[in-house]
Amino acid sequence: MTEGQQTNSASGEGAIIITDDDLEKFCEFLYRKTGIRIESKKRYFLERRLIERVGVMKCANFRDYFSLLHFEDAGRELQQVVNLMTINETYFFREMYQIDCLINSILADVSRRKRRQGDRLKIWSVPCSTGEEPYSIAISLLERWPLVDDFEIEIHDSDIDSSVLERAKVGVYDERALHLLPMMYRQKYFTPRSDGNWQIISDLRGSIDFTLVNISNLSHTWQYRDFDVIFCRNLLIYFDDVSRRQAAEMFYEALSPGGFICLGHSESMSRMSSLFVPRKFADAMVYQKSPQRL
Amino acid sequence: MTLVRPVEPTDISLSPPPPEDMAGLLVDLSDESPPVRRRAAHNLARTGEPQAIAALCARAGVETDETVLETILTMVMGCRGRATVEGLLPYLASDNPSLRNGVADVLRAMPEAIGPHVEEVLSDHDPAVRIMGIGLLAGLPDPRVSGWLVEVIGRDDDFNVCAAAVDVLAEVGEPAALPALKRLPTRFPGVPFLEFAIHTAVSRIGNGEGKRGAP
Repeated sequence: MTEGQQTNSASGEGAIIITDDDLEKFCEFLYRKTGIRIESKKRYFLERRLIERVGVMKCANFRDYFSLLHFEDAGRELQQVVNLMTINETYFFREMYQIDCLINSILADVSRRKRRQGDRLKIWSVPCSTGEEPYSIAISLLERWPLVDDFEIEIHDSDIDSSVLERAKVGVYDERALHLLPMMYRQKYFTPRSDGNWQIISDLRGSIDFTLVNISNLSHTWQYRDFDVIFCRNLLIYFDDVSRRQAAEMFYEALSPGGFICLGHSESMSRMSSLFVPRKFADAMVYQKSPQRL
Repeated sequence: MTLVRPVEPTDISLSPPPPEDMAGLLVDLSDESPPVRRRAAHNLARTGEPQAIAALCARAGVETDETVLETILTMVMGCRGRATVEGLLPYLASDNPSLRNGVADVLRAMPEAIGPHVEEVLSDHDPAVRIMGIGLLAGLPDPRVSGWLVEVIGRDDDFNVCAAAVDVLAEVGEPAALPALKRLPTRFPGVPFLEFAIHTAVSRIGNGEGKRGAP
């Protein structure tokens, strides 16, 4: 689209018009609030969703809607927009090689630094989407880590999208989400439902803390400290260089000395920040905060 | 089951503690403990005050801990503007490669603020600074870039500086740069590498590949 072109929700009277300038302003606003940059090739996707929200909020035009976004104290509409802009495609045991690495290598390294049995071991999954990743981690720990009973394990799970967090807490999944999960785990950690879906057992759901977190917002992240392992997979690809570096800073502060961070297969911490040391294990490359650093 | 809910579930409605007063943060920025210095850097950047930016830039020049330096540079990267650019530019001449390269990364992230300082950097007495400055031009969305580089290859006596300018011209040069490029071998005769680089740049610009955004 060239400069000055406009987008109409529909032809005829009452059409909602969003100009390129409007889109630029919105993208800058979203970036400042979340660190997420919308690529130009996704503009059509963005326009359709904004037009929908202008209508839902009964605003006369985009300008009124944008004003509402800016000045609404509770931030509910901003949350709605964030929910619409984020992608939540995932399933159980996705990119399993990193969970294998957690079980086979990372936890051995982490547990050596713990002082005694019964110490807390903290894992943070962010973004956790609808819960497939943290539940996969939990099941893998319970089934495969020989030292699982020696520690009290906290699994914290966060996402910027409030709607997916609600689904994660409920923990109901269809066949597509479970297609890689061994049947013995399904039978042990899920209960079948009459609609053909499966629900995570209440013990497991009750063991996990799901919270709404925007990792670009210090007000959300300042309490997240002393983690041993962080999973942050396929999120930073949506950030620009500055936001990636700031996110790396935040993760560095959130980790204990010697703690690990696991990124998505196409992401490299070495290209974002020099704070972490790459560690090559048999199953995966991960990144570590130096054990000597505070 | 050995999985336990967090002792204190996280409540994001709680606000972070307010930054200490400016004077306290400035003292903390020189504390002997790296975590204290990093926290001071975070909080100083949160204030956005020119005094805080100036202090962060000054600290970058003497910081010996790599993690604190990284934190300072990341924090000032989020404070785009004249104060940051002016505070960091002198470090392009630093003997510390972490600082020099880190500063170049920060400056590349704020191209809109570099423009007013380009001529100053390209005239620096230190060829290494001029080369770093040329590297910054590759990502600068400014219509004057090709002209600045043409000036460099017409006047700079350092072979390496001119070679760096030719490399960037190959990426972003405009057709108006062609005459100066074709004259350059007469200033540094008998240097095969430079001739090859010039040939590449001339070909790319001639094919319309040099100017950013051209087909």
